[in-house]
Amino acid sequence: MKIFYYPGCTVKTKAKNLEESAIAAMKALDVELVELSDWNCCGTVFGMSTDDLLHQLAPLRNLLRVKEQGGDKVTTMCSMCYNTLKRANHLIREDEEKKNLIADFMSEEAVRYEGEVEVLHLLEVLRDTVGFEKIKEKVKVPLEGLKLDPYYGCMLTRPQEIGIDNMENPTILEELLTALGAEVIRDPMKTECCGSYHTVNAVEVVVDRGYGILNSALKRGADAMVLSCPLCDYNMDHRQREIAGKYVDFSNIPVFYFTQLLALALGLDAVSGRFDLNYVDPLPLLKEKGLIA
Amino acid sequence: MENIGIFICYCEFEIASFLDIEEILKVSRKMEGVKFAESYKDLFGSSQLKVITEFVRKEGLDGVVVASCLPHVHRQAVEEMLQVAGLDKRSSEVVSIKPESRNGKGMSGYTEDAICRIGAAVEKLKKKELNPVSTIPMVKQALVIGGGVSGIHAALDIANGGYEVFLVERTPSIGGHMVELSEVFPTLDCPQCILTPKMVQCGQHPNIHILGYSEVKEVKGQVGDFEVLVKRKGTYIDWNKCTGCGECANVCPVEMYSDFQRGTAQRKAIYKPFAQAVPNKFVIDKQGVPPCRDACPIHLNAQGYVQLISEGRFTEALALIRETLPFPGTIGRICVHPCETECKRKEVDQPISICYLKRAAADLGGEDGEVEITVDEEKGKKIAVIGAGPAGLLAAYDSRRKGYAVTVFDAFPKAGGTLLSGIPEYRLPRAILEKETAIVSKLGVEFRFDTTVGKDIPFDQLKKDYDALFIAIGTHISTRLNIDGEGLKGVVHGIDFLRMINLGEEVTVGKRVAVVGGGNAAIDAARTLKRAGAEEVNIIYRRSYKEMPANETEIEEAENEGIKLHLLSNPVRLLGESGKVTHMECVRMKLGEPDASGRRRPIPVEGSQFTMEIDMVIPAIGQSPNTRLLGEKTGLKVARNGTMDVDPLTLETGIAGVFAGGDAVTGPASAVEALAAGRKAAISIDRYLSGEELRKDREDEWIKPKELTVATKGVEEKPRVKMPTLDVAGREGNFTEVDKGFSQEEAISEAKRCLSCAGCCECMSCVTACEAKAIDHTLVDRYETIHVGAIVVASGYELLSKDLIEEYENDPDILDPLQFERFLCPSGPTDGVVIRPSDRKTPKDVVFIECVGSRDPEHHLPYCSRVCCMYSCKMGMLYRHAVHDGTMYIFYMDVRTDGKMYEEFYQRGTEEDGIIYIRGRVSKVFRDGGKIMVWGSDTLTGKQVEIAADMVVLAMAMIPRPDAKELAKILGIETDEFGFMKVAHPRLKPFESEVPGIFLAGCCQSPKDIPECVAQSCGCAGKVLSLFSQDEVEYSLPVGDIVNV
Repeated sequence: MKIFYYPGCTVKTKAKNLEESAIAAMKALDVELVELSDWNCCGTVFGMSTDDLLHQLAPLRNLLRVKEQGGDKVTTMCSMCYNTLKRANHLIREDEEKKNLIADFMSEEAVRYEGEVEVLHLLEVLRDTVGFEKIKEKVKVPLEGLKLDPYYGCMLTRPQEIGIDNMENPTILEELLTALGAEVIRDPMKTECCGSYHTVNAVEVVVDRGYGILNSALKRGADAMVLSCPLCDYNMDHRQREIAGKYVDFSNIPVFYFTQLLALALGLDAVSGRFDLNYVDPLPLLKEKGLIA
Repeated sequence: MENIGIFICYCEFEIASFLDIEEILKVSRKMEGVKFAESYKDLFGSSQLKVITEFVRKEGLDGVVVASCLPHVHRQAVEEMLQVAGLDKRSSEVVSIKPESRNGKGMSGYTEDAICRIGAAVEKLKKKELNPVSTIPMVKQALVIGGGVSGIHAALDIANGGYEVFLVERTPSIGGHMVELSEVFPTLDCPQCILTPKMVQCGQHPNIHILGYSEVKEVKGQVGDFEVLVKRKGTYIDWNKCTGCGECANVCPVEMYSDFQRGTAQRKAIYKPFAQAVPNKFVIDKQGVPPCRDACPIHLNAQGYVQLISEGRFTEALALIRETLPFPGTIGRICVHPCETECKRKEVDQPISICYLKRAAADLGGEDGEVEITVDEEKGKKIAVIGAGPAGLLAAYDSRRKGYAVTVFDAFPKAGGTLLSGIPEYRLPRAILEKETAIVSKLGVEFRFDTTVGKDIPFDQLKKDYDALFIAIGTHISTRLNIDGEGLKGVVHGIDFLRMINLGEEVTVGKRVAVVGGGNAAIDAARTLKRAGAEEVNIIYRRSYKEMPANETEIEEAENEGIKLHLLSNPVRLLGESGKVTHMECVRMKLGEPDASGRRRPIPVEGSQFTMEIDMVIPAIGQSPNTRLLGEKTGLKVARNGTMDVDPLTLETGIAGVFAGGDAVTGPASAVEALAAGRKAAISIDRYLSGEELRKDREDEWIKPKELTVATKGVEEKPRVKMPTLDVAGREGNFTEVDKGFSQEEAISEAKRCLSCAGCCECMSCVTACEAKAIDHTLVDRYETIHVGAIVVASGYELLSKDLIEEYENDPDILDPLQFERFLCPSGPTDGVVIRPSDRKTPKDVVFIECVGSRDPEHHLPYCSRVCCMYSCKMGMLYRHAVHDGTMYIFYMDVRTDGKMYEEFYQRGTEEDGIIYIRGRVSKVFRDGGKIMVWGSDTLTGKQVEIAADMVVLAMAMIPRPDAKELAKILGIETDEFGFMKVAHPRLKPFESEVPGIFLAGCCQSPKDIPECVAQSCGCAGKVLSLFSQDEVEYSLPVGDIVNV
């Protein structure tokens, strides 16, 4: 099976471990991720002003590219891209007037976009197209003995109309990780905000939030955190340097993209998982649990 | 009617601004049969209305159509005007022309609709025939549905008015939710003080008949005479005899969820909901047949003895078992326990150790557990049983008890059949087997051992000498491997080997032995070999571990004893030297598609041969009965696999008076299945010898019961108690029993894990305990029909389940308000001492969260539950009165104090009792060690709030009773989108339903506080009484309104 995928900027730069492990893992599941050609910025943040339709052009152009290239679905692994693309799509599906207005803005495009393309997060593809049962069957290295703390952040589940799961108590990551054989920890912090873009100019906000969220995972006995969003990942993984600098009682904890563990469980080697790009080195943990040689 | 007048009522606001009145008049006047049409602004003003009378007289009208808003409000006034003018009131139609929804049709569209409706009304009148009005006599009895505070007041008022009332209550006692409350706002009266006297009055009132533990199932008829079918749920207790003393509950071993205590405490399966219950009677909570009992071939009451053991009542448990099974010590050791496979506890962790508990009852029940076994009067007929295995023994036992003379023939020197020859002594000590089989001979059954029927005594002789025969010869021929070398010395078949060892015959045991097969016989042989001196014992099985038919614990123990499993392997030939086996050649197998038995078929892997060096081979791959032994020409039918063919329902063989059962029929199966066959045979033989029909009603002997829903969510995990065993070293070279049996403590602890699936476990302890002899376990549901003239519905409310609030974790210290009431209440689980459930310590910081589920249109319910603001404040006060150093926080959206003295009450709560009110919603509630963290916002200060609380109470939305919709359907009344029952008009008819004669009181309509419920029920009673002031009521056919065309 082939499916179009929209990478977005972060996946091509800071989050190459997300992209590469995802492509490898999906291949092992017989799903080829075909990179959309001629993609542009997703728009980064969904425009919330009442009169800011211009902001929707970037995401919708990407969806138009999918349509032009003959696709009716596009998947993305970055939560932020997913959120922006899906909400823009939702907006024009719901609001005829805005759809027409945007079409007028994009009059130089050869094809008119009507909201036909389905935007899917990679987790949805795994759940609804591949199926967790199927994945369970294909697991070669069950993640036995690994206690994982799923972390969702906000972009996957909010607002409700585009969420991939229940926004108050999502469980899609838990279901996936259980299928991979891991033990899952229930952590009330899983839907808390990571601090988001404050990481640029108010690092202390992110440090405080990260300390609270990661500590909750540690306190509940987690070996590692699992997430899907590159921004969350930056704040939870790379910012552990600053967290450890401010809080002396803090101890580091590995943070994985779900795709890295998926690749590992499907029997791919550590190189495919690109664990070398994680800030907190997860290899000692994986070795200790006997998951890699 | 041919001279019809049309009167249009309009106002600018509702009608004239949407409709073209002139146009309507113009068209109306042209309608056939219409003599007159006019429009009036505000026709229903007192001075205007009489124009209808005037024009009827002046124009000689014989029918009137009034077009207005709200027909059900205006109809009565129009009818009165017609009557003044001397017309029958049925000569009128009132239609609504008010656009119901502004659906964008525009003025011409709305006008067209209105004309259509008026036209339809005119046509209806033209065709209407005014038959003479018939009446029916008013049945001056009322039905009140629901015995809460509303129902109680309605019933009392009607009864005091002099009429009889049937008060139907779903639960065993009236009182409703109000008796669950601690104190009530704003006066802080105790419901025990203010409601119980009313409940008692209800109970004692000569005009009130409380139909407790009952439900309304069907309503027919109309106002004046409703025919109501009431289901009187089976109480299993004769309420005429029950004194409410409670001796029965003292002996009942079953603990269940208590509705009255909202789960904060347990009640017994035999119970009355609370001390002040009215009527003061007990009921038994029977949910059905528990899965364990259903799964047991002899339907032994497993839940019954397990629960007796949970209270340490071993003797009673043993007696209960013995009523069905005379051999608990034997079966409790070796049963394959299908009961445990079905046990619901496995959904939590592991099934209850039912089999071992049966043994515990036998071990620890003492001699007093012997029930007195009676034998009926001698019937003077003789029965021969061939085979003293479990099937033969139970057939003999049951038949003897029925008064037949029974003789059992067996080739072995002792009783037990395969239990004796096949089961090794380390699993079943012979003393136990002898003691239990002796019960049969004690009853007077004659045994002829060392007698092989067909050899020592001809089969035909038995047929001549006895009136009936039961063949239970088991399976004592071993299935051959059918491979080369099977005739070599050192090849001994499993059942032969076990028989020789178990009967003390001489047998040479090899050093390196291979046992072929994966069933219990194979494992038994292997473990026996180990004890008899074999150095290396291997088990060869062609499928995988999962498919092995042997008991799992047996396999585990075999491995513990050093026996090696070679799975997915199969022997292909045996090699030998000088006639003695030396090697076994095997092939590896893989599993293919499932075969007829549902197990995956093993397929040999080519070229995977391997050879094992051995000096003894024990094939144990199957067994079949030796029917030939009985003689060549017995006339018995034998299937291709060697088993006997019988009628599965009656066990008849086709030869009159000859029956067969057990392994001989089924092939090698379990002892308990053989017992079931023996019991079945005894019934058939009894019927045969009494000249009764053998087949009649046999299918009904056990009807598969409905599956029970058992709450397994939230049950704390507690793995099953391990059977203490002899250590492996201690087992070597001897046949001492491996399983040591549970100690009393272990058995009790294991039995306490039982989830009481069926509620009442039918241990019958209550029957003995009841001095009034009121308990009768056969008193099932019955139905009663009553006739009433009017019905008051007061079916009440329920709380939205807190499990539905996904953002809050399921935690023992997060309560719903009724649960918190229980901890504040003197009749609660702690007698009013406030504790938190998790550690029973005093909670020092309590957080109340308002509007959980209410006022939340996005996720739950849009409406306000009305009473939460006030009860939270009340509970805050009561908490502060009970815990002086405690702090109560209330997160609220706004505080609604809409009743007399309510605002003052709230002021008292904040000022005198120091409740801390925080305006804002809570975003997260989660467990953090010993505390529950509550995160919220204070929208007055704009700050985030974090409270480390000991306990959290969620003011859950009030919802209609889950069965309210069904009840409404039975009554033919409407419910709103949430399931609350709908009144005819929210302002002007606040307690009439759309159906005349059915009135709605209290929370079945919408959330309400107690004063409003009482006011409504008194209002309903007033309506009923005014109805009963008439002796007759018009017989009416249902009439519809014209609403849309």
